[in-house]
This record gives sequence, structure tokens and C-alpha cells, in this order.
Amino acid sequence: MSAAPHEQVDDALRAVRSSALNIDIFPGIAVIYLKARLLASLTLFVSTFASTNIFTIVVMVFVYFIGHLQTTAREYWLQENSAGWITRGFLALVALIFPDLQAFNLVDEMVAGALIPITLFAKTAVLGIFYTTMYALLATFVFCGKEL
Amino acid sequence: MMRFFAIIAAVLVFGVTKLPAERALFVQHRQLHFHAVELNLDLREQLGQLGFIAALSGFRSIVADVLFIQAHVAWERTEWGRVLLLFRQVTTLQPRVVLFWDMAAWHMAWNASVAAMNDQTQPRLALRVKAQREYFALGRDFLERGIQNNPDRPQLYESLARLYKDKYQDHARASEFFAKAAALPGAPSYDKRFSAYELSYCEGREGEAYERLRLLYDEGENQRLPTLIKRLKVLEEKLNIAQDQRIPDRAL
Repeated sequence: MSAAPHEQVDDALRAVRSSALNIDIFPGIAVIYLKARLLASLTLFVSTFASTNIFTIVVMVFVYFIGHLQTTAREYWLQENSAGWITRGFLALVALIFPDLQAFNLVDEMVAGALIPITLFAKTAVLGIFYTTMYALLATFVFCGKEL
Repeated sequence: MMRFFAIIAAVLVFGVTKLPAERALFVQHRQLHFHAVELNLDLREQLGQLGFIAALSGFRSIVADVLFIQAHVAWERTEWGRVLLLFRQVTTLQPRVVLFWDMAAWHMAWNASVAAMNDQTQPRLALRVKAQREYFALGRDFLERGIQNNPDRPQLYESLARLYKDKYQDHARASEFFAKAAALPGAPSYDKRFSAYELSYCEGREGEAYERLRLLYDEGENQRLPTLIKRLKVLEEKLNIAQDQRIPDRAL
């Protein structure tokens, strides 16, 4: 390889560097952290009105799955006009109540070699912080009303 | 009771507030070709219940990786039907990973096609050739769909060009796809040369090929590689280029 043309050596080095640890991985880690924080605050909120641990866990498992499908429900609700009002009402409820967890799955794209634009990362981070704050506030509000 | 309704109202107000932000993010994801996976009933049938649930719950890339390993095992066992099925699932789950499309096409057009041609259980040559062509077509289909999903990456254009060159002996299409690869950012510098080489084999396009090869030659020493010089010499003879316009013999 040392005898290869300068251009070829540069190409090879670029390929090695892009496959190794680079700074692009940190937004992915940060988004995973934000998703974990969001789920933790939502769990806290659910636990304020749940009577048992198992109820909280089961509800959160369902929320986790529904959260990943929220995008599908929201887009169908906003775009599809032929659905009946019961369907649309149900989809609206899913879209309004549950967080969009799919927005935080940037890692799937990062492992495919896609670069995450800084604006997208910033928007996702703001959304994550907004979710976390709101669920934490709601949890505080419910908790304050409890008789200890 | 008032508190309960207040919380419900707060959740709904929060939902309405977050909706535009979620929608804007979704639109940006679509523009960047993120989450281009269509999780429909076809995929559900292919993946099985657990795999589909895993794909739904944010483990799409992990499921794709596991299926890719299974496809590799199926390849080792030369189970071509299973290789095809698994690669279809893998590429559906991770359409932005170029490696998966490239490997799928390679297995179909290079490995499975050769296995079909050497199939001892099929005595009729015509049927073996037919099976081979079907595998070529499968490989081409993977690459074409891969390009649709990754129009900004040069690797798959290059693979498709190699497929046209090696399997279909279609030098015009090979040249076209090498040129498309060369036009994209991050493309290796040889794509431009390869496009010109392939064009030089096309009947009736020798003049165009000569111009492109000559331009590359004139770029400098880096481009003056043995194949380029050899093809230029062949075209100079074929096109009867004047002696004083030919490249020096010592270049060969």
C-alpha cells in the first residue's frame, strides 16, 4: 500500500477514519440519553397515579411500543381524510397523548453511515427536553395533590 | 375531580403544543431519507412476530444485523432461496446501509448465478442459463432499489456498472453508471477512468471515448495508467489519429 499512488492512499485512509470512532457518534449517544430521560420522566408521571410497581412497568412497556408507532398514527390522522370519526378520534388521541419516540431513533441512521445535521440534532434535543420538562411538571402537579 | 380534569386538559394541551414540532422533525427526517422503512403486513410475514415487534420498537438496525448474520450462514450452506429471502428482509429494514444492498446483489449475481450454472442436478443447459439470468436480474434489482434508496452514494452505481460490465457485457450501461458514480461526492477517482474505458469498448462511440481518455491523459502523470494508455493506443489505431497527435510510444 505504501507504493500506491498518493490519491489511493488518501482514499484508503479516509475509509479507515470514517469507520473508526469519530465525533459524529456523540450526537447519537446524546439522543439516546434524551430518550432515556424522557422515558424516565414519563415513568415518574405514570407512577404518581399508579398504585403498584407492576402497573407502572406494564403501562410503560405499552407506552414504549405505542410511542414508536405514534408517528404512523399522527401522519395517518393528519393526512387521511377517508377514515371514520372513531378511527380519527382514536388516532388523534394516540398522537396527542403519546410522545414520538421514533424521532429519537437517529442511531439507526448513524450506523448506516448517515451524518446527522446539527439543526436536526438541536431540534431533537429541544423536543426531548420539552417532553421531559412537561412530564416532570405533570408528575409534580399530580404528586402535590396526593395526601401523604 | 377538578385536578383529574385539569391533568387531562394539560396532557391534551401539551399534545397540541408538541404536534407542530414533531411534524417538522418528521418532515426533516423524510427529506434526509431517514426511517424510510415501510412496516407493513408483507414485512410482518417475512420477519415473524418477534422480529416485527423488535423492528417496531426501535431495534430495527439490530434485527437487520441479526438477519444479515443469518444470511451469511445461509450463504455458507449455499441455500440460495434463503439467502434471497433474508437479504430482502435486511434491505427492507435498513435501506440506507449500502453494504447490505451490495452484498445482496453480489450473492445473487455472482455467487448464486455461478452455482445455478454449475448445478449438477440440472442436465439441461438451457435451464441452467435461464436460472443464471434470473439471478443476474435479482442482483440488478437489488442494486437498482439500493440506488433508489441511496441516490447520493457512489458505491451502488459502481456495483451496478460492474454488474453490467461483467455479467451482461453491456459496456454502454457500465460506462453510464461509472460516470454517474464519478459525479457523486466521495467517489473514487478511478470511476471516471473506468467510465471512459468502458465507453472505449462500445461500437460507434470510439470518438467520444477517445476524447474522454485523451482529456484524462492530459490531466497529468496520475492518470497515465497502463490500461488508459493501452486503450488510447487501441483507439488511435482504430480512429486513424494523425501521428503527430498521438501519445508518445514511450508512454506504453
